[in-house]
Amino acid sequence: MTVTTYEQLREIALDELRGALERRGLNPAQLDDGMDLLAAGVIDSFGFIDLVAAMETRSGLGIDLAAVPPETLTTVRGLVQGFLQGASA
Amino acid sequence: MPPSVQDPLARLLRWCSVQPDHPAVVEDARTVPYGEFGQKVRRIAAAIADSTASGDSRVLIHLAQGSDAYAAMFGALMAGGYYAPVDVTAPPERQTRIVAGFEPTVVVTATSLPPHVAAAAGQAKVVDLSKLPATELAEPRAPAHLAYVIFTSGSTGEPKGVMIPRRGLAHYTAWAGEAMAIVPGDRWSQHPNIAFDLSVLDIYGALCWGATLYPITNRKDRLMPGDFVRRHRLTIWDSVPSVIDLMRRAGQAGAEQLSSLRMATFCGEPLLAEHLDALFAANPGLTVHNTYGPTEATVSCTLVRLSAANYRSACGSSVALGSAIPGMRLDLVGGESGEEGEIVLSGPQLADGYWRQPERTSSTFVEIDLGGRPTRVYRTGDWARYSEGHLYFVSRTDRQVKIHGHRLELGEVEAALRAAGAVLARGEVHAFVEGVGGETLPDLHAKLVRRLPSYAIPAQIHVVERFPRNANDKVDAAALAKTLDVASIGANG
Repeated sequence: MTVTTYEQLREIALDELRGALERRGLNPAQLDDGMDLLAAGVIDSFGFIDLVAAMETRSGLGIDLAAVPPETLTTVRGLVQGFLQGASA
Repeated sequence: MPPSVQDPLARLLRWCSVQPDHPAVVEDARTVPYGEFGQKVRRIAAAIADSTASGDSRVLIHLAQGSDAYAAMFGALMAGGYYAPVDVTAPPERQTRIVAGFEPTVVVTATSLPPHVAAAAGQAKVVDLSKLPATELAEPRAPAHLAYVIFTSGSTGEPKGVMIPRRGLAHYTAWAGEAMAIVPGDRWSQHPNIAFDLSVLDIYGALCWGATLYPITNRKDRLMPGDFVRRHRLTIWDSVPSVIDLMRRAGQAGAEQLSSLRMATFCGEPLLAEHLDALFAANPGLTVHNTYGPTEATVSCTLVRLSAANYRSACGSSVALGSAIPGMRLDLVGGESGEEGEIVLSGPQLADGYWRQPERTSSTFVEIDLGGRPTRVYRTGDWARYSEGHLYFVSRTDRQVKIHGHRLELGEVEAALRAAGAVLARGEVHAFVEGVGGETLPDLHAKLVRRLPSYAIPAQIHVVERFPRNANDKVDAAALAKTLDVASIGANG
């Protein structure tokens, strides 16, 4: 599968986060893409590294984290948009 | 004692005078030389002094990590006051509790204060750095007894303020300069948040010895500091061992990132042999300082100096804690022999106690007989053991745990949820609630996010029908932990 859309990347991210979200009583289907995953205690910095690595592996895309605005870096929206930028670069 | 226990402010002001063009702080967007930094310190001091009598300045620092926050710390000392730093990214309820508990007379900020902080600060005078008058304080006021109050996790849910005297800070700063041989050519990272006492080593170690400080403020750099070390060719890096794990996982703990370092210093949690394997493989010329100490003894008060040639001899289940630094004393009490026991610390770096908590202070800062002399000591709650001449951490004797170097009282998690139990299992906090009442699990999670720092938010909230209780009708945390199938827990019971 070629991953090229926001929804496809979002689905990968949510799939990776599903366990962490459900353990905290949160519903992945209702996740706000703008929620700061670290501030909300959904993942920690280790979980963030793992999430980026998994998204890279599963999408076949790369991401330049330095190019992602810091305020959105640890949100689903920020990560997905970062991957999309990498794909179009 | 170190050869010269000079006051930290005097040390800083001397460097501002002798090397005004040398960079004091390098931020992403600007470099602040010592001369300019000293002017900022004097201007902040003047603004604080203008509003309070000497010795009566309780200064709350509500600033992001960076040169302004560091200048505010020295400004508070110069004005004859003492300060409490706040993590401006902490949940609002936690900030509010700290501000209300500290009751500052002055708040230093760079913007308009958030409403919850302003309300909690009451009648405190606000020093807004964006409108700072040009007036400088020419000479330091007589120093207050205290230097700072750092708030840590409290078992009742209320953050606990640790009161560090200025002479304790002076002692620690003097030791750091001597032991680390800090020189103006050193480039030093500043990673820990200013509300976390490990930052004291970076800030006072660098600025009191003429070196250059590099605050890590960018989100990506904070997550993966290896590239930051490489870009700035840092020579000293101070962190907690968990960050090595993080860098390894991100592929940022190799020679490319770490070859510029001459020294790495760790504190806050057990350092492991595998951490040292990685560091010395990346940089065989590195010197590693493993240090140990609670906030209550001014950052750290032991040292073991490690090199690629000698480190394996100091590696047990974790790396040895080292010996007490000059002027401080470490003893083991309560064990069956002198080779094992709870660590008690004594010496000039001991805190005065806990901010406005005399009972808690008297229960952990106690007088005991050491070598025939009654001595004031701090009971750390850390159980340790000597093996082949080295001292090793074994476990906690209470319910304090460490999450990636952050100190957390499990009682704080329980207080945030009210009727709850909390345990540490496999490095994560787990919370147990007895039913959820009218609240849903997302409600409980949202409540925790408002009250607790992110590292304290439980990895999982377990709903149980009824808590197991011990003979005293207290929640049996050990029984709760057994439901997670874990052998060891950070809980009593």
